[in-house]
Amino acid sequence: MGVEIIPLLFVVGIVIATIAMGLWATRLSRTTSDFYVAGRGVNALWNSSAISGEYLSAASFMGIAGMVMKFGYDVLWYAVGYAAGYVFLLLFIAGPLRRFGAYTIPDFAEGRFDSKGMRKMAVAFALTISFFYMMPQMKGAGITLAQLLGSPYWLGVVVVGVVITLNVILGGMKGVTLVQAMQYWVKQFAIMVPIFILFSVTGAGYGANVKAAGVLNTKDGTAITTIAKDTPTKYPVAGELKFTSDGRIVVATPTTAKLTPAPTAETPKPAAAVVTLQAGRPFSGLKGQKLVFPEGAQVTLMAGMTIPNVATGDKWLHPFGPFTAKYGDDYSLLYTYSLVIALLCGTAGLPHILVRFYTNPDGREAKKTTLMVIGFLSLFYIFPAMWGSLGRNFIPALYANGATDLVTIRLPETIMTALGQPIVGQVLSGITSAGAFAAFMTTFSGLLVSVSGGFAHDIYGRILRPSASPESRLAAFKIAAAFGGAIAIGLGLLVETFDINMLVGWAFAIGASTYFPLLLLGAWFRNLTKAGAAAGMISGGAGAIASVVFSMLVDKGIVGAPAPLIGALTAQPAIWTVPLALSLMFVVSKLTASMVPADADFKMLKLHAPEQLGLRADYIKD
Amino acid sequence: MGTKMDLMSKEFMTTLMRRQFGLSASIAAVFVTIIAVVPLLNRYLPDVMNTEFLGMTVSWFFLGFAIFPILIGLAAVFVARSNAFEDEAIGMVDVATLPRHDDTPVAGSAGLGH
Repeated sequence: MGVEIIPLLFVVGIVIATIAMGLWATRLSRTTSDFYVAGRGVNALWNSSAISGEYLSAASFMGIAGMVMKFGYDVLWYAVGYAAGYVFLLLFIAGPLRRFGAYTIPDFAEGRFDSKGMRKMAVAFALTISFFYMMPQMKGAGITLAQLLGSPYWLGVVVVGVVITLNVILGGMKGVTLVQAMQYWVKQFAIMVPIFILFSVTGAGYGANVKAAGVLNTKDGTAITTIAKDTPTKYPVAGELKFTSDGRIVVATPTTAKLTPAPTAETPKPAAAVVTLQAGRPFSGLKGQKLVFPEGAQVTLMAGMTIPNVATGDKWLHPFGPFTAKYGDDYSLLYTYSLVIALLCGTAGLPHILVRFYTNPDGREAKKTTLMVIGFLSLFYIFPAMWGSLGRNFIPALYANGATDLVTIRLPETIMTALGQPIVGQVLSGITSAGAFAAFMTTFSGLLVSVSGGFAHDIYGRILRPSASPESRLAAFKIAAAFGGAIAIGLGLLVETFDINMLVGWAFAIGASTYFPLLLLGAWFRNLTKAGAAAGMISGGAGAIASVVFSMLVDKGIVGAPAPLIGALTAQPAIWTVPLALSLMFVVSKLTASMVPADADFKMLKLHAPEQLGLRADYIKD
Repeated sequence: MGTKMDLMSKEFMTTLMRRQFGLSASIAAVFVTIIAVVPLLNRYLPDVMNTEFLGMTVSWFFLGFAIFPILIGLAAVFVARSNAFEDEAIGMVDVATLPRHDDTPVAGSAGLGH
């Protein structure tokens, strides 16, 4: 595939606009306070646009649509959970967090417990969550640019990484607030307008597409289409081909693969065997079988064969399909609840989002901002599932090579080219490509500000050199941003083979098991002690991280698959790690009641009293 | 309104938190119930949830569209009630107990909107 000129121009345009806005905003960014929190003078409309812009990441713009296409109904929970997490944030956290007058969660942790140790622990978790969350953004940038340019994966990672790092170094938070706010509207436009055009030109709306997708590949319904011409496919991710109908493939070089035979009544779960495919000899008669290829395998899907990897329509349309029933139907309800808990609580555990609440002038504005964010995100999150449904009907070829993540990028071009309007298609694909780039860039820059702020403000300014001048803190921020950007690029290069949404899900689960309990109980439970908070965060965080690493190793085949129940509880750990963290915080605090801070009453008052009562004292001063 | 409370009194802090938490918890209860019931209905009343509705199913329509206005509505009710309560709380405090600030607060540098 060659270079796609028109989409590329759109991408270059959004990248240049981002740099230009960042440079322009530099002139407005004068003081340390401007740099960190935009002088606390950002109004609710700007701030809620910026929070939404920062929040809508590669997972939201590409990942949900791709997963809806692949798995169907169950993935709607992602869209709902990503928006609904802000309701918890609003009800329990937004107002108190702003009123406490700290800039970062580590500030909150130290101030709430009068403990430097708690600050260090909070910094450690902030950095862990941020770097986990940066990796999928890098991955999205790498594969999208590879799609448009035919370029290698690393180029997209390096380009996006360098551009955003420079932008953060030059513009700081104020530049970022402006850029983030604008890019919310870019993303909203890009997810919304092209899909309406596609509905209109194809003559079928959302409902009609869901209905058609729901009978696709069923006994009584429409068969999935066949591969039109021989299609060579490279498997960068350990690739899997599931053949629902007959399949014929051929490999260019001798390739070993793991073959799982079709299940029968006697052996419902047949064991996999290693087979060697000979070069140039078509391999057929694959109905019901599954082949897993090693990384880098070159496989050609032959003309006339039915597209593999397509879930049947009824499983796609209805709850408890292939996604949540991965560990068996018995655990699909458990899996669903655990996913929902991670999403609802995890939003309150994202350091780059929480830091934005300090840019509100007061608690009342913080609540108003959150309400507006819920509105903006609701408007956004109805669209990804439309893309997924349309993609299933119009571009099923993406199933074959596991590239459903690219549905928002590829769909307009595919449909419009089929209708004899390739230029219109490229323009629309250009718009969605620009939206996707906006998504990686905004989320990445928000995370980078949060990581750099963590180093400069928490580690340098509070732990290493409390006497540092504002100028040297600003210098520390910029140096930290350069290092943070370099680390993120390095990590991004390592994750080409990981699934975008898997990485995002991990960040949410870790946040839900650490920051969420800390903030919830920190704001509402007067007798929370630092011992209790530490015990909860460490056990919740350790449980979540261990689960994540374990399921990653299982996924890569390094560790054998566990029992289904264990598999479900480690793939989605929030259902046990969040209650574990909350209950340990409560119990250990009861046992260490003598450690309740002497001025706990005052701290609680400060968290909850309206600003008009005059208790406000901000941590950041010029 | 009866006697005013001292800002720094335990009584005021407890009243403030109890009222705010009551509001948050009651809205959270509605919100969590709505979210938690959907998978149960999907599991135990599949015939109803899988009925075709506007081309999609009832359940798809609920998660794909209907739930979002509900989220916005709950959030809006919370913000309105929470702010009303805060105004009330300000009135509960004895003005003589408020701290005095001679220094002006950090000047907001007017934000981006100008």
